[in-house]
Amino acid sequence: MTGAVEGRTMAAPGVGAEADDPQHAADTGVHLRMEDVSKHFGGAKALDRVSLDIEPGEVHALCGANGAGKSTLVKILAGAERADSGRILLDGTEVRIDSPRAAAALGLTFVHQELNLVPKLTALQNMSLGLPGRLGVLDRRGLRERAARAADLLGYAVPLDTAVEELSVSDRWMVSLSRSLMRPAHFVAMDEPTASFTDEEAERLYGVIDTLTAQGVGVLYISHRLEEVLEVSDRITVMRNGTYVGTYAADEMTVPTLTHQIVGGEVEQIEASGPVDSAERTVRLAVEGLTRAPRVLDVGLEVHRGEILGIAGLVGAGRTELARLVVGADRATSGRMTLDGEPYAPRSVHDAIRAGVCLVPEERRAQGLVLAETVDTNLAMASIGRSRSMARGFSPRRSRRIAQDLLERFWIKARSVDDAVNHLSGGNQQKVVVAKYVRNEPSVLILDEPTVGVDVGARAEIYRLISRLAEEGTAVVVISSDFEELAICHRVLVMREGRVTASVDAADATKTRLTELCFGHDARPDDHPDAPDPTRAPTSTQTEEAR
Amino acid sequence: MTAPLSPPPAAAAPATSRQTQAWTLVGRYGALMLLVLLVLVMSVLEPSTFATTSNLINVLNQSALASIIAIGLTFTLVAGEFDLSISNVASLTGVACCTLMADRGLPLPLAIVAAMAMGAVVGLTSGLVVTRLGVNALVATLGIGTVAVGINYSIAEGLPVSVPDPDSLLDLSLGRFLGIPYPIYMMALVAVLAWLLLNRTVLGQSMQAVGGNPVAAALSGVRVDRVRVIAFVLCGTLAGLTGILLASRTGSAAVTAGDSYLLSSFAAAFFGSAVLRDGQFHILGTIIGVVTVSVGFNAIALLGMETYWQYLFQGLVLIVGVGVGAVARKRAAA
Repeated sequence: MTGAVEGRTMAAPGVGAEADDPQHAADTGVHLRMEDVSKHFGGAKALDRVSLDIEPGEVHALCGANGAGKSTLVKILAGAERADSGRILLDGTEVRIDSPRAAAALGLTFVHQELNLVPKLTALQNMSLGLPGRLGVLDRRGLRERAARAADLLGYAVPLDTAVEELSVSDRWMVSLSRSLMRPAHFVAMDEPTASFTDEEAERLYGVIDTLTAQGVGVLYISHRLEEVLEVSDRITVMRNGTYVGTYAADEMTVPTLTHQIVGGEVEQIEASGPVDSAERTVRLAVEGLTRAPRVLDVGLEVHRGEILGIAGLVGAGRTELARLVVGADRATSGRMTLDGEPYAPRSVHDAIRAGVCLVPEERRAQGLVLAETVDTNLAMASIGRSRSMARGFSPRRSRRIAQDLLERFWIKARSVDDAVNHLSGGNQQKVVVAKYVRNEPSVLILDEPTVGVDVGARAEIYRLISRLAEEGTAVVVISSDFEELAICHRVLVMREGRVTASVDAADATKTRLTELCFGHDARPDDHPDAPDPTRAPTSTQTEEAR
Repeated sequence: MTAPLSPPPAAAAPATSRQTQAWTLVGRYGALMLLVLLVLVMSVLEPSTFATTSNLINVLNQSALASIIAIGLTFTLVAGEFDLSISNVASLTGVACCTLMADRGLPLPLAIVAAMAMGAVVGLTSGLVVTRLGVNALVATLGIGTVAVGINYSIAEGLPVSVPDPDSLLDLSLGRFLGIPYPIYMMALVAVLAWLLLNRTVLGQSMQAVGGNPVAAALSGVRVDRVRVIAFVLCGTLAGLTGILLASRTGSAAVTAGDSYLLSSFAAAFFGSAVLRDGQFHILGTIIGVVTVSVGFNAIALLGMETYWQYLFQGLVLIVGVGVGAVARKRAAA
């Protein structure tokens, strides 16, 4: 294998000058191997000695729940992150990938969910970005020829002279893919390609993948859609909590067996909150038919006084988008909401906050805090935002006193309310964001990923806060990708592709069960009477195989 | 000041934290020290002309109009925007109001109100263009400022407008109460009101929130667009007031009277952002910025230096004041 180093650079199936002979390429494709790759972010282990190998001409799928480490692994391959330890080998020769440029030079290319395209430029211009010109001048004809050859390679031609912003999502994807083939490529990683594709577009992509692999290109395919993974890939590597679980031949796997590997067989010890007798409690927030395509489709839910409602789902399932509709940050195209029995139609976050509906946003640093400001100022923000008249006076002394109070009530560890929030730990920053909204005494509090990047101690405190708020009568909604965390909920809804597909009681909301439901692998269909669209639930035959 | 709450890593030796503290002090007080240094040096060099009450009043008087217009600009900067039309607005309101006084016999108090109202309308327009049309502030205020220049020239055809009976107008700038010229009182009044507005009202706190993190502000219920529009209106209003005060210095309005205030206002506000705060715009800082430049100009005149030194001084003061602050903060954070 080591002898193939020269072949690698000489005959890659891209459209560089060397790659004119595609038949030859299949024989000389490159074997990519990652060995014992580890990566830490701060104290948290993102990858723990993960290995992966991809044969030339293979479609290799990477599966795992949210936070399993898939993205980190791909980022390391793409040169966007550096591994702490471990090796990357191309045909047995160790390579260093310390920048995206280095990755591209080695023929490793990546097509991401967020396509890095310039909307105003044409497809061809986008495909030419970063390519060397001839003596610094764009070689227009040469580029066009290369683009045409990339199209041949894909078996699909994108309109080259159309501005990218006018192309469909799948065509943009193809532009991105073509761009990666403008240089010699041995290996293409695709992150959730079909997430917003129609069936037809997805079929087209499968065809393109076939064409690529026939020429010896290795494809790393990341997708949450397990049926698709089984159909497209040759082998599947499963990751769980940053560790390598195993690599399996795709034709030996089924959706249930794959789900089982993704979830893990570990015994779960989740301490659930005591169940709330919903019947005795009044409905605080009711949502009916709420829609804002494509991420939120016909969602209905009810949250009761004192209830903690969880919303589980995969990244992109539409949970955050739903929350934004409920707090007036976005407007729904259809649907109705009531709050404590009254019609509720917030036209802005200001309206929602006045009505007592608050959202603790997902990204606390970007969306929740003014980092350079003091704890005091940050804590005052939502009460500033609630004030109808802006001409009203503001008393720093009163604000300080309230802040002092919140500091104690929420166990925020800061030396004083005058500390800048960027000096606080992640957990304490999060407590500041929660406290800022709780200061308004909301009747409905939605928390989006409340404990991401929060240490264990602060996490327990945030759970205690949530429970206390519920006991005081607040209806709490917790959106989380950490399914163990959802044990604090009385009830958990599962969202999948914009819809609520299941409702699970506390006792049933185990990590395994929720993960199964999120992947659309539904073992016990009779458990979720709330599911509005039974056709969305995947095939029951696979369910029976699992038994 | 900047010690993290969790126990620092072992590398953070006491020496480092002392250094950190020193840099924090430089960051907060460096710009202010520049002013103090300037005053001390001049008091030694020119004790008989510089360090006198009359010269102090003179310096403050020269700072008055620049402060008023720069305070207006500070509102937009605090809200995370900026306004490049202020100098054009000041020129326009001076010409327009003097024309109204000359041709229609508009009484002075009404002329002052009219100038502020005119400025407010221009500010409102800028604010709406920025928030409703989504045009960025650079393009919006540059465009609106240029339109203001056009209107200005259409009124007076580029000629200065004199007021037939200029006494009351001149009195606005030249009159004194307790030996102190009126403009200093006006500067003080505007400064106090502006400070109260920013620090003691919901609106002011909203502006600071919007400038600090517009996304977080919006998700906290702050009506971000409305706050921005109001900041532009306040800015335009004070630019309008500056326009009529400028005319009152000579009893006539020149079409380019306000032009020099654009750069000086930005310079003062940015210099001020490095005073006492970590790079945030605030009223006191802006005034200190204006006064520092005035003291420098005054010194240059008293030392008999050439006029070009004024430009060198103003440019260098801005870069040194803001640059030292930025470097110091980086060091303090390290």
